[in-house]
Amino acid sequence: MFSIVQSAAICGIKAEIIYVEADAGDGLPMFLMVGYLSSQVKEAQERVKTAMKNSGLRLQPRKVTVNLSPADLRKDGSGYDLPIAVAVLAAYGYIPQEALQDVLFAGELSLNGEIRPIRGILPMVRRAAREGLKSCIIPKANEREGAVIEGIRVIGVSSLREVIDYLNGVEDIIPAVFDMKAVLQNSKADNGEDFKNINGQEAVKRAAEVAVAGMHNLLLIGPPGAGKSMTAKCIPGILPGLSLEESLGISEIYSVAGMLGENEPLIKKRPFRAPHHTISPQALAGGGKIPRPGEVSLAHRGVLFLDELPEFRREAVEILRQPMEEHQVCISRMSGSFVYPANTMLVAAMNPCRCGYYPDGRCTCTEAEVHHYLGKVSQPILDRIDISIEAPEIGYEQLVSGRENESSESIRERVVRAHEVQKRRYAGTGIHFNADLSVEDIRKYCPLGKEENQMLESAFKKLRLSARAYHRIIKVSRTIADLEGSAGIRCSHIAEAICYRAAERKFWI
Amino acid sequence: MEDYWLWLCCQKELYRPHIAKLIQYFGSPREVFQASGKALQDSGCLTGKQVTGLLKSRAGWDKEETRHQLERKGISFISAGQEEFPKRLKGIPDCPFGIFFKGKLPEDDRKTVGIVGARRCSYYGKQMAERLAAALAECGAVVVSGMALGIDGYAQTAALEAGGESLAVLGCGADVCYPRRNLPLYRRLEEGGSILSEYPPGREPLALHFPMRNRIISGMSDCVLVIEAKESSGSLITADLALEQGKDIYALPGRVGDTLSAGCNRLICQGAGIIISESELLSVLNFHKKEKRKNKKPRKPLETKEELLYSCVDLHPKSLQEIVSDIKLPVQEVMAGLTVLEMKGYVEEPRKNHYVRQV
Repeated sequence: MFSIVQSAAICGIKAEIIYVEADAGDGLPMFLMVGYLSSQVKEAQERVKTAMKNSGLRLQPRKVTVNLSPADLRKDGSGYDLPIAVAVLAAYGYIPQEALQDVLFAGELSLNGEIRPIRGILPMVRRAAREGLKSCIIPKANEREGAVIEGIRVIGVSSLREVIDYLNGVEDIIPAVFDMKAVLQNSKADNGEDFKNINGQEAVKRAAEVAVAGMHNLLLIGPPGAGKSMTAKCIPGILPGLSLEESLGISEIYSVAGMLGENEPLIKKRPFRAPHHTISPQALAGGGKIPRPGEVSLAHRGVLFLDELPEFRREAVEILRQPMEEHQVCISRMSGSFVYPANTMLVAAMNPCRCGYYPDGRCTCTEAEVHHYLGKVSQPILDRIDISIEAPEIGYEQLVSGRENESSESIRERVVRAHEVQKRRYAGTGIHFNADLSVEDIRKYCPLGKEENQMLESAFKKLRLSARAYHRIIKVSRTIADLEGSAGIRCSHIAEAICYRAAERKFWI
Repeated sequence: MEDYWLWLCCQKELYRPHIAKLIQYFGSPREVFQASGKALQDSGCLTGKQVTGLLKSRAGWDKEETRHQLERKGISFISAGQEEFPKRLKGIPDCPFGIFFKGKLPEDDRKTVGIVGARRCSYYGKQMAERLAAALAECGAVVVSGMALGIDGYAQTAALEAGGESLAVLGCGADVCYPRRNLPLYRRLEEGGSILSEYPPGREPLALHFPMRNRIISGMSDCVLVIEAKESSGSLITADLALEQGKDIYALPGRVGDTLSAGCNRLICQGAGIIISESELLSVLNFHKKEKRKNKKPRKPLETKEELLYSCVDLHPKSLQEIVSDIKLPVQEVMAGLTVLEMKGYVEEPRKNHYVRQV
C-alpha cells in the first residue's frame, strides 16, 4: 500500500514542505530510503524500526520503500523520524490515509518510541499555516513554540503510540494554545539595563540616543571602566518595542538555531548579543557544514555589541561588511544557498590603546604601540560607523551624585517619534532609517539651506573632512533634526553631528 | 684620498672610535686600505671579525660603483678634510670623519637652531614647537632636529610649512626613513631641506646610534631649544652635548610636577635661557623679525552662550564630558557650541572629543 505524509525542511530560516512517501509491497523484505538524504536522515530507519517494535507494533516482512520529495533538496536533521514512521505505519494500514490529509508531522524518535524535540519548529508551523494545512503534529516539548502561530491546530505528542491512537480517533489531544497578546504586554517592562542607572556620561547617552533614532552604528572609545558595556546594554531598552511580526521574525531565527527554550517560545525582547572577541568568522556571520545563523543574525532587529573591537580577529570583523550593507547574510554551500536576516545595529567599544589609558599619564604604551593598536581596527568597518564618541573616565562626584537621570522609557519616547517621522518620509522607498541613505538619497531627503551649506563647507575645509565623513555628518544631522521634530536640517544639528564624526587617525597621535 | 675615506666610512662594522684608532695607527685611510691583513690584525685596533669584514670589502671594492650607488640614491659624501665640510661640525669633539647627506646642507654663515624634545609630548609642547619653529623659519633660520616623532617632527614640519628650511640628523643611513610614520616629512625634507647622517646608507636604526647622533644635532646648531623633556631623556643628552660644544641652550618652562617639563625646568635651574615668547627669543638670538606679511584674520565675535562655553575650555585639553559637567547646558548644545567655536577658530580638538583653547 502506498501512503504520503507531509513534513518540512529548514532552508536558511525558511521551511519547505517535504512529502514523505512510503510503500509496503511484495518482494524481498527490506527497508529502502531514497531522496537526497544526509546520514542523519538515513539513520532514521533504525530508530523508526526499533521505536515501532517498542511501541508494540509488529510489521510483516515486506519490501518497504521510503522516498522524501522533492528529491533535489538535501534533507538534514532528525525531524523526519516521526513522518517516516507515520508514513510506514499508514502504508501497513495501521493509520488511515484520510487522517493524514492536511497534517504536518515533525519530530525525532527515540528507540523506546518517545518523541524528542527538534530545531526549527516555528518556521515549519508557520509555513504549514501558510500552505493552508489544518494541523501540525509536533513534539510535546516544542508545542508552545508551534502554538505561537495562529490559524492552525498544534498537537503536541510525546510518544509514537499516542500519535497512532490520535490518528485512529481512539484518543483526543487538546491543541496547545499560546496567549501571545498577554505575553507581549507583560514583557514590555523588562528590557535589560536602564539609562537612569548611568551617572554622568551625558555625551555618550546622547550619542546613543541619536544612534538609535537613525539606526546608525555606534563606536564608543574610552578607558576600562568608563561604562561602555553598560551603555551598550542599555541600548535595547531605548529601541521601540517589538511588533508581533518582528517578534516572530526573531523567534524564527532562534528556532532554527535551536535556542528557543520550552518555556520561552517567543522572543519578546530585542536581542542583545555580545560575542567574545575570540569568535570565529563563521560563528559571527553564520555558517558551518550545515549552515546555522551566526551572532549577527541572532542580533536581528536588536544590538550586536562588539566589545574590544581591535581584539577581534580581522577576518571576523571584515565578514560583517556585507551584512551591514544588505541587512542579510547569504551563505552558499554545496547543498544550496541560505539567507539569514541580519538587520542589526552595531555597537562597538574599544580602548584607545592596549593598556586603555592613552592619552592619560597612566598609559604605559609606547607611541608605536598605540598606533599599532589603532591599526588593528579595520578601516572599512570604521567607514560604516556613523557615530563615534569618547567615553571618558567617570569622576567620583558623578559616581555618587544623586541627580535623577533620565530613564530609558522617556528617551525611547523621543526615539519612537523620530522613527515615525522616518517611516512617513521613506514610505514606499525601501529605506527604513536615515542610516540607510545613499549619497543620492542624501541629496533628495536632506536638502540644506544656504547657511547650513556654508557651515558644512567651512567644516570640510577646516577639519579636513573626507567625502565619506561629509555624507555621514549629513545623515546624522538628519537624525538629530528628526529627534527634534524639525523639518529642515539646521546649523545646530550639523554642528552636533560634526562632534560625532569618526575618530580619524590624527586624533590619537 | 676622498675615495679611501668613503671606503672607510662605508664599513658596516666600524664606528667612529675604531676609525679614529686606525687613523692614529696607520696615518691615513689610504694606508689602512693598503695595509696587509696581518698588519691590521697586529695593530690591535680591531677584532678578528672586523678585520675579516674589512679585508672582504677591500677585495670587492669598486669606487665607481659605490659612487654610482650613492648618486642613484641622491646621497652625497663629504669627508672632514674637505673645504665644504660644515665648519661648525669640524669644531666639535668627536667630529665624524665623513658625513652622508641628502639635499643641500645649510651654509656656514646661515643661522641654525636645534629644536629637540619628547617624542610623546603634550599638546602645549606641540603647539610651542610649531610656533617657535615657524617663527624661526620665517626669519631665515634653519631648524635642525632628529626627525623623531613628537617635538622633533612637529618642529621640522612647521618650519617647512612656514616656507623655511630644515635639517634632519638621523641615527640610521640617510636613505632609511625612521620612524616610518614620518615618511611624509622625510619626503619633504628631501625636496626642501636636508637629511644628514654619519652612518653609511642602509644602516638600520640601532638604539646605540641615537645618543651619538645627538652630538651632530647640537653640533650643526648655533643654539639648541629644548621644548619638552623628561628628566633623563634623549633631549637632555643633546643639551649636555651642546653645552660641551659651547652652544647656547634655551628651555621652555613648564609647570612644576609636569613630568614632561621636569627636564626643561632642570635646565633652566642650571642656567639655560628661558623661552618666554617667540618675539623675545627672536630678539635674544639677534633675529630681526620682518614685519608680519600676512595679517591674521580677525576672529568672528562670540555670542553669549559661546562666550560661556569658551570660558569652560582650558589651555589643557579637556574632555567633552568634563565640559558638560562644568556647564549648565544640555549636552547637545555643548556639542554644537564647541563645533561652532572650533570653526570660528577659538578652540581646537587635538584628540577625539577633547577641546583646548587656541592661543
